[in-house]
Amino acid sequence: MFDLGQEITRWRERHAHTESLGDDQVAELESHLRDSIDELQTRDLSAAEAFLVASRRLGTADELKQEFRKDNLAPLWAGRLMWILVGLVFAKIGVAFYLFASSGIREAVITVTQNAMWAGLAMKVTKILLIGIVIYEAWYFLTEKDQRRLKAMDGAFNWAFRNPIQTLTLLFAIAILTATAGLLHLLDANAIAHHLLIGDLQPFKAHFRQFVIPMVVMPMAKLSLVLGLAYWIYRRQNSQYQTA
Amino acid sequence: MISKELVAASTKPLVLSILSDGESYGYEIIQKVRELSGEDIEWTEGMLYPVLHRMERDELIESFWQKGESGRRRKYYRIKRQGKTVLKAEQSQWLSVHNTFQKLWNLNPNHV
Repeated sequence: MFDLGQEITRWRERHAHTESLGDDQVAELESHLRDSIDELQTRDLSAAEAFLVASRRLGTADELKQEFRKDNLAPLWAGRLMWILVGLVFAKIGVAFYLFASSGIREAVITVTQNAMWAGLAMKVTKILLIGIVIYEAWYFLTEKDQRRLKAMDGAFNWAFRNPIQTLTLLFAIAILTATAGLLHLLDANAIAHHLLIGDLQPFKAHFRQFVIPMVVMPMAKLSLVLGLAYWIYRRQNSQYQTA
Repeated sequence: MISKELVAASTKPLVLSILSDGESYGYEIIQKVRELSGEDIEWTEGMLYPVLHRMERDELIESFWQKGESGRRRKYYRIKRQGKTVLKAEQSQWLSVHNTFQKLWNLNPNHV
């Protein structure tokens, strides 16, 4: 049985993955397709025939892409730039995580085995595992048929970009928690109480200078800057597509 | 059939003229042009939508989503002030070409 709704959904998905067509443009073409189908059906064409003729008239994804490409070059590159910036942020986080994990593993192995060779080996294994995970994830993203993860990621980004204040609050909350955890790690509770009681803020200042500023404030500032830039590009790109 | 060059030159003034009569959407614009031209001008979707988007970027027209009488959402276009100014200039140019032809062909009916 021919299911018109399903065919139109499939048509939309085929075009939604065309890089040079924006969401708004696909929606516009879809409403055109539906108008065209309605009109053909009043001329005694079956749903299947009407869909076939209407979609043929509109052109294949490739033809439309060619036509729209000239028009969309600037937003196309803005979009690419945005993803490059977001990618940079994630690459940085990935590298930081790798350094943190491998040094942690090295420390742990040295403590347990007292053997530098084992520690080196453990680090290598961690490295291989992490690279393996990255390659596996990338491969999975590219080959996954229904693109569930890609869609989830897309949704998450859309949410983050639509709610910039919440996103930044969340990021800063994580940063403050990390800084606080570091503070507790460096000073025990008795010492903190003691220093506060005698009004000696020297250890806290030193902690901020040595830990909080270089490890938390600076990276957060850079992260906000890059994400802010990506967000600005995203807004610029989508401002002309505001729906009423 | 009308030549490619003439279609390219007349698209913008035609769209502006249609929108100066009231807001409309891509499908309706194509239908109207086909009807008014006695099916001489057949625009393709791939040609019209990029033109509409470019005119919107040039601030001649503006777009908005609205539910039509069928209850389905459509992207409507509306002419802006700058578009009306451009339409006026286009109008006088096309009329001047048109008048020149008319005089020539009236003086010498053998041309037609």
